[in-house]
Amino acid sequence: MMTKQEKIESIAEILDLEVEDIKEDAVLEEYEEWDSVAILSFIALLDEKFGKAVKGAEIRKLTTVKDLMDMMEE
Amino acid sequence: MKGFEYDQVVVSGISCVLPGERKKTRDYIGAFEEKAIEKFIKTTGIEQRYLSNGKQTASDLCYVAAKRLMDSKKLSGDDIDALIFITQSPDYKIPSTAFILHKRLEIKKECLTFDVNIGCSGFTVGLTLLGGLIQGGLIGRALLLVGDAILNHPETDDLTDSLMFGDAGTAALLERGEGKMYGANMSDGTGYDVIISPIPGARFPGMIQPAEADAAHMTNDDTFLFTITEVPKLFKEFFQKYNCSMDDFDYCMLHQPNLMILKQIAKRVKIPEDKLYISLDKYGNTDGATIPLGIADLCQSIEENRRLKLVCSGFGVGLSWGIVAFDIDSCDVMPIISTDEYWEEGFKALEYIQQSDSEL
Repeated sequence: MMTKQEKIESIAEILDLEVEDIKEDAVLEEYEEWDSVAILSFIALLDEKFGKAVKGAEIRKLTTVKDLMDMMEE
Repeated sequence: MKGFEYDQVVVSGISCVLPGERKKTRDYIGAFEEKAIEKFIKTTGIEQRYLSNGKQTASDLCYVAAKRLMDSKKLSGDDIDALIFITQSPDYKIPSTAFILHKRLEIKKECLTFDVNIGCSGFTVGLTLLGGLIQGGLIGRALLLVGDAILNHPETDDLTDSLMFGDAGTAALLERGEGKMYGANMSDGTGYDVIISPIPGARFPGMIQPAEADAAHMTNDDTFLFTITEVPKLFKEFFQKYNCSMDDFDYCMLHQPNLMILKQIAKRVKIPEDKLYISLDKYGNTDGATIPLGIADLCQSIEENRRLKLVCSGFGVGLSWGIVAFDIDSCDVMPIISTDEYWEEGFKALEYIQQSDSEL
């Protein structure tokens, strides 16, 4: 189980940004850092921390930071 | 995992050959934005690669690799009982390129000869195949040639396609002797389209492959997910089955697709940093050649002969993945060389097409 703060910290790490740059309602497309490498990092995170095998195509459908956070559940 | 275990198979030599043209990743600054290139290097770890001069094929590189290996072992064509060429870039559609190598290496007629169309798991699949034939008493000595040279490396706007792949040819000699080789091979055909090059194939008769589609199409996300989940899972089963751990091996020689994947596998398999051998910084992803090339790169840095305990894992197109463990004397691994050599006679084959055109 990850707290909201831990989720935001993980997303910041994936995007190589500061925690304060990550806003829950932010649109992913607006982050230049949300690219193919970030998607791979997110796939790895879901597998490692939540035991979930999620395809890239599913992740590419997500639009906001909140969508990422909702997926970060076991 | 059932796995396999041989006790009469020795890898008694490895020889690796690169094409002469070295391309540094940063040479592409200009064609791509500098920022994108730096990010590519950071993520993939690929600093440079070696590329065919346009006339050299994978078989040309493997020919040189095999010839010098046979010479150094004082072997003639009469001593080779099997020759397998594992490639995704054969010289021709027909026949198997292994026969061209059989001719060029002047190998005797009683020799089992064929190509295997498999990619990044080529070395581990090849060891399993030839090792099995030796263990079973069918043959005594075999050449395992693994190489790829993708001509017309596409220079698209996709950095992955353009800068990831390098060319190399490798040769390994397998012989009957006191030596253990063990591991397992896995396949998942449901992922056949994760990495695919559909044309030319009988499914699309008459279609000519456009030059820019020379390399395979890869769904990077799915390839990534497959490798970071299935490969560590197999390692876990392998360690359990053979009652061993990374403590029992000197090095883990993983296929070298990109640094990000290697780090993920290493983290999950708990491979210590000093045992995870990385060579893709120098050669890029050379498909099935990465593992023997990595072994040769490692042995170049070892001065006095040392018996190395290696655990190797190839994984990729198929989907196919496997682990093979064996020992090798570092003095049996030749230093890496480069060559611009190619087989001129090979170009004559075009005459057959021109001939049949004029007969119409």
